[in-house]
Amino acid sequence: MGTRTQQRHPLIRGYLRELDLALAELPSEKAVELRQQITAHLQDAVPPRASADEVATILGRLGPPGELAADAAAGAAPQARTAVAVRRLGARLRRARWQSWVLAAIVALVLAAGAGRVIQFATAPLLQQGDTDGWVYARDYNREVDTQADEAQQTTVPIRSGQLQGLYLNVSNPSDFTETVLGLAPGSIPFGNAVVRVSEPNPEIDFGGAVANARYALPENVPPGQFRMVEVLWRSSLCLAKGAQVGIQQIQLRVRVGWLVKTDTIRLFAGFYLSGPSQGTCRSRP
Amino acid sequence: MTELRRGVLGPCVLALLELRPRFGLELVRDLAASDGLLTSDGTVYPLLNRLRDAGLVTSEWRDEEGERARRYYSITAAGQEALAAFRADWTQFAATVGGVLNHLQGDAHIAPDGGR
Repeated sequence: MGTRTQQRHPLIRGYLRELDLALAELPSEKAVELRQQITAHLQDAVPPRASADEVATILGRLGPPGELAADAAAGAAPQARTAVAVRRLGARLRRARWQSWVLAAIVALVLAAGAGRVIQFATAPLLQQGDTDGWVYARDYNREVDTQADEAQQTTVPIRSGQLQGLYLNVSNPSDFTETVLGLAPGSIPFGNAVVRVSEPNPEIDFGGAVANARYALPENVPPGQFRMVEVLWRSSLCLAKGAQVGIQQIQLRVRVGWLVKTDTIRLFAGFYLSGPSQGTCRSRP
Repeated sequence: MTELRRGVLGPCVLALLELRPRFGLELVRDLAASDGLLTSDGTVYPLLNRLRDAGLVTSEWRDEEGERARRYYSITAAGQEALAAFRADWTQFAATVGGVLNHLQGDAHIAPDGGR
């Protein structure tokens, strides 16, 4: 009588692995049945403590697994390609060594951790306005007009066409990750070609010009829980008629959070507006 | 010859099962005892499954004392009918083929001179 001991013989294990692969082409119930028949045959045919030569002879008489499967397939219904591919993959997985499973588990863990990290980055809150904003240049600051209508605040200064104008605002990072300001989103500022820079930590803030003395850089990091000053400068190029105004209610920054680059729309407490008539050099009308 | 061998293997299995039910290795050994009938032991199993699908053979698990459970194959009534039909056909077929082969063999002996 045969026992499971014979099934552990390396030659038999190898034969059954090959058979599993070859049987992937068959409908599963046919494959399982033939696998059981061949296993039972080997349990009966291989005596206990059989030598490698004896086992090899028995396996040789049984015939190559591929031929066996082909013989069985001749009477079986054809399988859908997908089903065959899935079964073949299953057979390959079953014959994988434990090292392969460990490797696969490590890869799966890394992927899961990576996916979790990406989700954290994707859902992290972005930079938001702090408690300070204003016009960069004293000439504008001194001429600003603050208005409020329907709970919407607005600060307006005369446009100085062809000259540098700018605004600053304090931003905070409410997330658990360092966020890096990379630049302005295209089309974010309608007054002219604008550039954005971010201050070094804790700049001295003095309305109307002193803040401009701080050191600025781009790209620049804003660590979790910290504040930075964001300065936006442009050379005003619009041509505004008397009484006309152009303004912004938000600023869009490109911000990197971990592995992701996102567009951060910062809603401003007060809209920044330029009003006509234009004086100096202007090129385009809004 | 391989095709002929494959063609007659099914009826030979039925003939063995007609005597008594057998388990897989038993069938293989009985068939292997007839020289040249079995090209490889494994071919018996797909054949048994085809015979079962055709309703010519059934199988059941038997748990005999002191032995592990084995699957025994038995011939069905339909299998017996098919076997009887094959026997009749085979007898006639073998006689026909034998007659032709023997006749050609006789011709082959006289052909070298008779052909001139």
